[in-house]
Amino acid sequence: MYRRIVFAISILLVLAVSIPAFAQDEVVVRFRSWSPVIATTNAMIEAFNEANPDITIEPDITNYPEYLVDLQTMAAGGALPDLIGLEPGALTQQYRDHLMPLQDCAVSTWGEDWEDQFFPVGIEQARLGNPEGDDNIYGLPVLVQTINMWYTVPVFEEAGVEPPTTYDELKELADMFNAQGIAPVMIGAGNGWIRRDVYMQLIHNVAPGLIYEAEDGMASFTDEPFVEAMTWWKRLFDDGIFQIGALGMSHYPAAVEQIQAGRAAMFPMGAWWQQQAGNPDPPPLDQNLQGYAPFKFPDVTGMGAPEDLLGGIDVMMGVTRGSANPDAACKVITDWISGAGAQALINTYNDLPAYIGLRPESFGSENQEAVWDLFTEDWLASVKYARQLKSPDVKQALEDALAAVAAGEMTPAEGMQLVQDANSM
Amino acid sequence: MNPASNTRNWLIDNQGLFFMAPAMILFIVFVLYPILYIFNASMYDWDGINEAIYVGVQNYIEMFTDDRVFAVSIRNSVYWTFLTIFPQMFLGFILAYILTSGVPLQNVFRIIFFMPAIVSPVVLGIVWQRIYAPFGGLLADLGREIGAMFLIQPYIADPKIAIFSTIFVNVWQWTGFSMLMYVAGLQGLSGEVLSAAEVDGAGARQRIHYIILPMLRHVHLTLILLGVIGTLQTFALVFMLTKGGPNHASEMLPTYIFQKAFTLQSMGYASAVAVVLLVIALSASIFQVRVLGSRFTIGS
Amino acid sequence: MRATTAGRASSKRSLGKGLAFIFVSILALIWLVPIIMMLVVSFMPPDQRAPRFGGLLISGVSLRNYETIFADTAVIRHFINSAAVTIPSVALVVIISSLAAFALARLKFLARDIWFYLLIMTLMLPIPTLVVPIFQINKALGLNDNYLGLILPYTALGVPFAIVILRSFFANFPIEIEEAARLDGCTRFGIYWRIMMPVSWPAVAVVIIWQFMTSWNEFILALVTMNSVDVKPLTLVPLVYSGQFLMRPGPMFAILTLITLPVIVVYYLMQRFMVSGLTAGAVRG
Repeated sequence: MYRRIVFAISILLVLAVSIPAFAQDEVVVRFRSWSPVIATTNAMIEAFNEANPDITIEPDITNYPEYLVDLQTMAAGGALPDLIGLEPGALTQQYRDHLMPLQDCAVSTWGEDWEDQFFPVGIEQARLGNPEGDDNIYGLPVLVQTINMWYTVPVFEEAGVEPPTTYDELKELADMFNAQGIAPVMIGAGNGWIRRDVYMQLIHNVAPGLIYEAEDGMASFTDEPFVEAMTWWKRLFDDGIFQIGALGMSHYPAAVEQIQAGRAAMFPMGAWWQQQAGNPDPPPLDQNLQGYAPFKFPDVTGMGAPEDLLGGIDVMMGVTRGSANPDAACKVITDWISGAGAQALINTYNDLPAYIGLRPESFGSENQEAVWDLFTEDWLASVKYARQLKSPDVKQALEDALAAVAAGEMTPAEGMQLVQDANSM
Repeated sequence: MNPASNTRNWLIDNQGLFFMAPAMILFIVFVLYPILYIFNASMYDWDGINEAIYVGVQNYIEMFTDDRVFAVSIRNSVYWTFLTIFPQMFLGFILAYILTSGVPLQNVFRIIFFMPAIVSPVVLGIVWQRIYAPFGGLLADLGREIGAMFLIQPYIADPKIAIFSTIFVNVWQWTGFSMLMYVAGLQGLSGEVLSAAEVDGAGARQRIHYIILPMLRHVHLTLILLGVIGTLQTFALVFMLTKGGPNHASEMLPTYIFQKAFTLQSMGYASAVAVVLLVIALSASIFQVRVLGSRFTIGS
Repeated sequence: MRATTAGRASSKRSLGKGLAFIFVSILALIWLVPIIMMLVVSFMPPDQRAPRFGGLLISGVSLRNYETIFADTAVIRHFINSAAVTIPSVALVVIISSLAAFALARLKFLARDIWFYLLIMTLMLPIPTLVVPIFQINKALGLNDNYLGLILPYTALGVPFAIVILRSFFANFPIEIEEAARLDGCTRFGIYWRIMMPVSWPAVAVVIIWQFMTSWNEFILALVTMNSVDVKPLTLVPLVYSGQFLMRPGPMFAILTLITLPVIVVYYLMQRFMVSGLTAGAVRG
């Protein structure tokens, strides 16, 4: 038995070592990201290759947390791929020294006035966190988004109600839906990002723009408006507006599954929710997006909700300094932003294009087209403030504080103190 | 005695080193270097890729004086140690005893109980969220159906009980491993001793208490050692089930390290936590081996 | 007189066995619920959702999820890659760790206890902090994108666990038999190879199961080490289906079910070896 094992190992070891390192003559662009998903990425590559058969793209798409590990390991080992997916702010800044400025690439593709061809929020956020005096673009925005609320159309129709615009209306709907066993607002508050998204909309309602001043040290997170927004957050739990057990649920996949099954009346999400229609084998509500419609976060304070929505870059892409084929990488990025690849991307309704004027080639329903137009023509153009925060530590502290306050472990004031402490570090 | 025969004698006395050599080489290449790397990184303020700033023991000072999450993780590790190791051993032994006594389908049962250890933590995290969820979850809907309303609980949404709900899943997952170890131990016992005891008229309980359990001492000790190490290494389950939340209530050291290193871009600080984890684990093992059994170390 | 006692004891024993059977059956059912959920979701028609009872009840069965993963990815290729990494690492771990465990349990040599502590320290290294240094070692050795780039680290990280298990079994081995063999002129290696190993099948089986399971399931190190599709193991496939904003539980659970199957087979085979190990020991003893 043992002798046979030894024999087997020797064979396998020889096999393992003799796997040849394959040599390649053609131009290869290695691409790693968490977004777009693999099926979409493959479609984009195919579209790109129709006009550029000489460039081979090797994609590698993984879930976001694992992607961060992958990227950091490769950077530390000096082996970054040519093209990488980035988030604006902290992540891009962490890799800034490994990224090539892309404005030359942009100018040569779209001309001197290239910035005007993008939604302003995309350009602004591409530079988020750059040091004073550094106007370089280290990543070009591919997809942008807003954050907002959605409702389930059949659920609302059956109840004969309209989307709420004030807190009282929200509360009234909540009482009604709770009695029917439907989640009034379905949230997977186990994920920090969705807690933060809701808080950002609350503070945007209470004091638009203030949180960015606090980030820069011009205001304190312990100021009254922040505490007030936090108090509203707590009430969403206490008044039964969120479904029970929300803090122990993930937004993806747990909450989404309930939403798709029609057990949620409303839910916080963003423009990217349109991609449900592009998924293979969609459940009935997702088909052609017939079951969902977006609405603005209700005016909880009663002081008048701001006209603009929060938003920002969904995914941007950068070319690494070590890349052997920066020109090919530039070609790929720009094609995916405004060329055939971009069209393939947009056709899946993955999110809103950063480049102005792109439209999916076809819509499956009137509702879907109306939603698309509302986002691209009305809402996205209004975006003034970012969905994201600059510092990962402040982000984390805010997400922690939101969980602690929701669970009753901290008062709203204590929660905001936690955030302020993280900011002053 | 000439020097050559001295060397020869030394080599004969220490021939264990030859047996150890392959393990030692792998250890030096793939383990010692990472340890030194972590130790070095722990002295820096470093985001993992850009230039690092030397800060000496600052990371350690911060950890012990001003890091609530670190403290919570340590507390959770203590809970975890006691609430997983002993239930797992107890249940694992009972299962192993029954499933080596010739009940029908015992091989099938052994596979069933071991299966949770095999299944990917990704699945376990999602599936247990589905079981625990108060809205649409298995326990809650079952409770509503049969009128057992106490089943509707915010199992992983309430910071006070999230860690215990997570520990419960861990016990479910790893009891099969304890069972496997006891099965292997029971198979290794000489059948003669057991049948001799039977002929002497010893009842089942006496046999277990006076003969079987003492003879499985090496298995108990191994399981305790692995339990402590497993506790300090717990990562995938927590990461997939609760993400360490709510508000770090179910955080364990490895999930905290992961978050610091990759989400919060503090590789230096994460390395310092890793060093502390290493030191705790090593002292726990030495303490335990010394206190619980010299036979375990000396092995004779 | 004697016969009645024996009869009573045996009926008592069969009663006990019956109760034990009922006990493990009930427990096994509870144990199976989450596993069944995994299977249910993997067979759920992809356009349906089962929002109640955690998804345990579905209204239809479909193989679409399995078709999807076979159509989307080179499952067979990835399967071979997983095997090409896992099998050598299991074999290496068994050999290297049994040698070391034998020495640690039965021989005296320089700094023995210190070596033991150093080795078990390996078990405590937190995985998230290991990735970066191991990647660098592999890069220096030119092992990235090569099976050895995973075989060697998996072996190194698996050996200490195996040593802990094997050592405790070796240590429990009766000293008299070893002494008798020594008197017969058996070398140390002979004692390890001819006497200890053949009766240690139960423990070796545990090691094989464990090492197979961990090597087969590992994905973080695999993610950074393997770039080319030709060498990527099976565990990297589900990561594709678990993207933050596009969650497809159906195909993901289908692929995870497929990943689980080989480990169950190995577990089943090893369990049989554990029994045959007992027989071998009894014959010899």
